[in-house]
Amino acid sequence: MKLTPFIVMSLFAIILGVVLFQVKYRVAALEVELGRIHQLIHDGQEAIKVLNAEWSYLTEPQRLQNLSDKFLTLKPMQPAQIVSLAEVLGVLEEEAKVQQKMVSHASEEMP
Amino acid sequence: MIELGHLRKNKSAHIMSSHGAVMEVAKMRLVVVMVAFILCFFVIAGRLGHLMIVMHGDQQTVESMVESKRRVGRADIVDRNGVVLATSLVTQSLYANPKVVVNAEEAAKKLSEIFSELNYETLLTKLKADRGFVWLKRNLTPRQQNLVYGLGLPGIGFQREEKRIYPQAHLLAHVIGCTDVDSRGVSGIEKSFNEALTQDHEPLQLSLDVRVQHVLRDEILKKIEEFNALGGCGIVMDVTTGELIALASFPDYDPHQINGLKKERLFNAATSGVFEIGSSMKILTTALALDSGIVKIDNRYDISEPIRVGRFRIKDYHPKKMVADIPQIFLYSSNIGMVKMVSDLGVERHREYLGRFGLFEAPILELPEIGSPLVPAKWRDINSMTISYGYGLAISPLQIANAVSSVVNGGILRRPRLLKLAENEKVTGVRVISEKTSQTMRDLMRLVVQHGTGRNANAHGYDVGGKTGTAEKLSNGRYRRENMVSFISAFPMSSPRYMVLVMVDEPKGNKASHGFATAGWIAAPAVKNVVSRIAPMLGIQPTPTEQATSPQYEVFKASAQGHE
Repeated sequence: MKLTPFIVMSLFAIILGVVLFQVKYRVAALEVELGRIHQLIHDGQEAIKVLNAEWSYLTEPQRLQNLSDKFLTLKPMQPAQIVSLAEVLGVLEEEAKVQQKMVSHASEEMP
Repeated sequence: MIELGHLRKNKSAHIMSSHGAVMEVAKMRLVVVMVAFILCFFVIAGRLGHLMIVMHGDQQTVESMVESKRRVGRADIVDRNGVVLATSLVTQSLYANPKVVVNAEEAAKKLSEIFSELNYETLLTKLKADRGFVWLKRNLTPRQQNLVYGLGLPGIGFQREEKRIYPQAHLLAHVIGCTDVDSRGVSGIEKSFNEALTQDHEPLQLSLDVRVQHVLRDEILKKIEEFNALGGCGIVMDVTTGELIALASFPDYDPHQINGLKKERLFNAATSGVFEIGSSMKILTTALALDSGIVKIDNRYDISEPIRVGRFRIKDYHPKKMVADIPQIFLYSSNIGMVKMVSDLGVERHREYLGRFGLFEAPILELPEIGSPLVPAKWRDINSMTISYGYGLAISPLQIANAVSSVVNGGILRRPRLLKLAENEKVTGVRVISEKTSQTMRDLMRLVVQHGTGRNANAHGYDVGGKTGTAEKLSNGRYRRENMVSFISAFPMSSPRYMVLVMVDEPKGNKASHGFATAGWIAAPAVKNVVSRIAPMLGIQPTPTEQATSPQYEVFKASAQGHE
């Protein structure tokens, strides 16, 4: 009977010990993982820097212009190519009116 | 038996009693030990609980660790749209410890085979030096590094280093500047923001736009080549904020290869160069004369006869036998008219106004290469007279650009800037001329492009206004036939948003310009091309052609054409 507290205590101690060790190992494993991830992030960031630099180099306007002159027939945009939204809407409205007229005209003739 | 029994009983009693005492002691000790252990375990459990529940994960530390890892090297420089203009990449540099090198001859021979630019003798002297450390080659390519690794030479190692890369190369060389081999800024933005770039790790965002910069560079280079000029420069500025959208100077250079370059190539003419600006100055002269209220827009001056002042004779490039009003004087770019206007104004007032435009002190810009204007020490009538048409006061293109921006933007002079304006940042400025004068000047500048010397700058649909400037260059106290031609413009004139300046140094006239080496034939067409290419990029809505800027404009036009 007198042993009960002792057994309870020992069990408690053993459980605590086991939990402690497990936590410790998990922490150690996580730390390794963390270090690895840090390294990955760092490598990734350096790779992004290199790629950004390369992107900037490849899209350098003079280079693009040379390529465009060589392979495309693009020219600087002319003011006539730019129209306002109001103008576009106006044209659409006209179009719709013409369509409607044609439809009504057709339906008149049909019967 | 009895005795024995007694004895035994006695003994057992004795034992019993001593046994009881021992047990008591043992129990006590056990309790003490157990309590001690329990306490220990509680402490451990408590600490565990603390670690797991209270401080779980401790994300802040993780973040700051990531942050600190990222904080390596010099920060990037990007343009207003985030395009990388300068960045630092990690490279390996090769060094040697001569004290550990075993066979210097062999090492030198093998290394000189890998690096064609290093010769055997120099390598050998380096490897035999009586030192513990010598650089052999900075910033190796990964392939070179691999080759050296393959040699397996003792006493030779790699040092991780940074190399500054400018992906846009020539495009922004004068503005960005460059760094030395130890990544310290030696010129341009790299120098003026050296501290910030090494300490702060956010990219530094400039107000420049690489697309606009490219157009400006492309068009000016074309003119330099076409007219066999010495160089040139150009500026595009947002007149509402003072932000520089493009800033170019020629000849330019590749910032990766600055060793052995001549000083002229590293010279930023747009900010360091000071020039007698010529007729472009008439924008300021007319603006200040009108703003003072002393000269009215319909005042008339006789411009038919040259003016004699001592041994000087002031005459016009396009002489007109007429009594002209201000729009006509401006349109025909009459020196005589300008001189008469400032004579009415008086030297003091003229000078005070020019000071307001910031022409007397070096402008403030985020660049170390800023030229100070050359201002006459004593200001006499003759100084005022010549300055009225752009001689006798040497200012940098940046200064005139900024002053003209203030003339067209409604009259507010702002500080030019190379850093992009933050979203909620407000720019301050000082009023130099009235809103009304600014409106008049816009109409006058539009008139020059529609009907005057600036016709070649008329980019259809973008309502360009401007003024030509053809200045003879001074050398050894004499004005030579070589010109510095410039065109200063703004668009759209109904509500100016951008100022465009193009300057070409010593162009030679050819067939395309009918033999002229003047601004109207060289700088004005460049401005036209620049405007028609950049306006769509900058989101400027084209206006129907030949729309009048204001009712006043029609009056100017009528009066100007009435004479022709």
